[in-house]
Amino acid sequence: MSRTINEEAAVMTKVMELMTALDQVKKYRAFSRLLLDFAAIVLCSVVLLLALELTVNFFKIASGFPCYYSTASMFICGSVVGGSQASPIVQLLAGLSLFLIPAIGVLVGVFWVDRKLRSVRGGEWREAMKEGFPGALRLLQALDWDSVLEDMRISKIGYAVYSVIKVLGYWLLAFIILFFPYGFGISLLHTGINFYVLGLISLILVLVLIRRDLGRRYRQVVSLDAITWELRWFNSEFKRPEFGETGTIEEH
Amino acid sequence: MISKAWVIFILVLIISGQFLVLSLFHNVDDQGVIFGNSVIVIGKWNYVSASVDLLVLPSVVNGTPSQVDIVLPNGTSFSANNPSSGFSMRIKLPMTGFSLANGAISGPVPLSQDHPLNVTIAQNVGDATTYVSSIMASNSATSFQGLAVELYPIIIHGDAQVAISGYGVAL
Repeated sequence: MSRTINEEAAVMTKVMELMTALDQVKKYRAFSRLLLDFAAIVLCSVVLLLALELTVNFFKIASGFPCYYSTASMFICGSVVGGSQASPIVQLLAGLSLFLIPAIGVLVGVFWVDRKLRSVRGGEWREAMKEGFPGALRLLQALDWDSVLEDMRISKIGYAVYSVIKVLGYWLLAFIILFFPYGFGISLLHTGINFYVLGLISLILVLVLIRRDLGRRYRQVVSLDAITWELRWFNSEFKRPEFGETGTIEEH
Repeated sequence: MISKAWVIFILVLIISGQFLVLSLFHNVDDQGVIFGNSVIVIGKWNYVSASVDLLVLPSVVNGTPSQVDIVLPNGTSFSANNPSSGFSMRIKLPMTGFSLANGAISGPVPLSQDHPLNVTIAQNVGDATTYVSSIMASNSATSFQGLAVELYPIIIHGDAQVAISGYGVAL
């Protein structure tokens, strides 16, 4: 069976789209693996925070209860009797460490994942595409369809998890940033700070700020679905007799 | 080479252990304005070792500081009439027993496994000695498999501002 130049060009275009999408999938697959790294880094920051709290507690016991948990923050060491008090700056930093240490953990995790993702290269297939239609067919032949489809599925999960983590991370940061003006404003009104309200405001602010990014990611998930179906079509098409099991083509 | 999943599992185990140890430490805080005969009661389970800070600042009425008398659990009494410095002291309450049992009591000084150290300020109780006797009597029978309630009443006569802050560890 013969194939026209237009048909070849159409197949090559499809293969290029496919390989470009697979490059993206490769990145998201790498990202899903890096989620474990991210989780480990964040958990390490939590271990560090708790270790510091334990150290403070054991220090208090070992030194004969020099001070007490007289404020909301476990780190701030105060005493109604008096005695040595930490400076206001130290007390502020100590109080903020409850939020700062996990926040730094999240930022380090994001930096680590970003750095690793940058090292994931794609586009190796471009050399083969320069050979024309035979090169495109060779690329299709070399694909392990089952693992490609599996990678697509995992990538979709990676998308969703990444979005959730991103919202949670920004939520924490927004909460810390808003804490100061919110607390100041509430103090002027002489009423108590409601952390639930602050948490809700922070969440809504974050959702408003990253709504475009969330929308883009949603569209990417939808397009991944489309690519998955297209891949399935390629898979069945590639097995049809006119392609031939070897992927060769007769030209006239 | 240990896999990343195992690393995360180990980290979660470490965090769980840290939370467990942190739950051994407890703190209490209370403050208020008292008048007449008042009683501050510190309560704890016998397996708790604690230290409590007490600050009493006599109230000033029409420019005259109130005369305040403080009677500690061991019967020692102090007087305070300086509204700026007041009276302050630190009370060490050692662990006196060990028990594998857990319990909870209600009443003026509720205690539980989660809150093994507590303080309460009862103001204008009338006859402070009778009040203390009734509290001590109601909790004296609370002993189970080595678990016992310990109450430390501090009687204050006079008008004052009081602040009490305690920190303890349950082992």
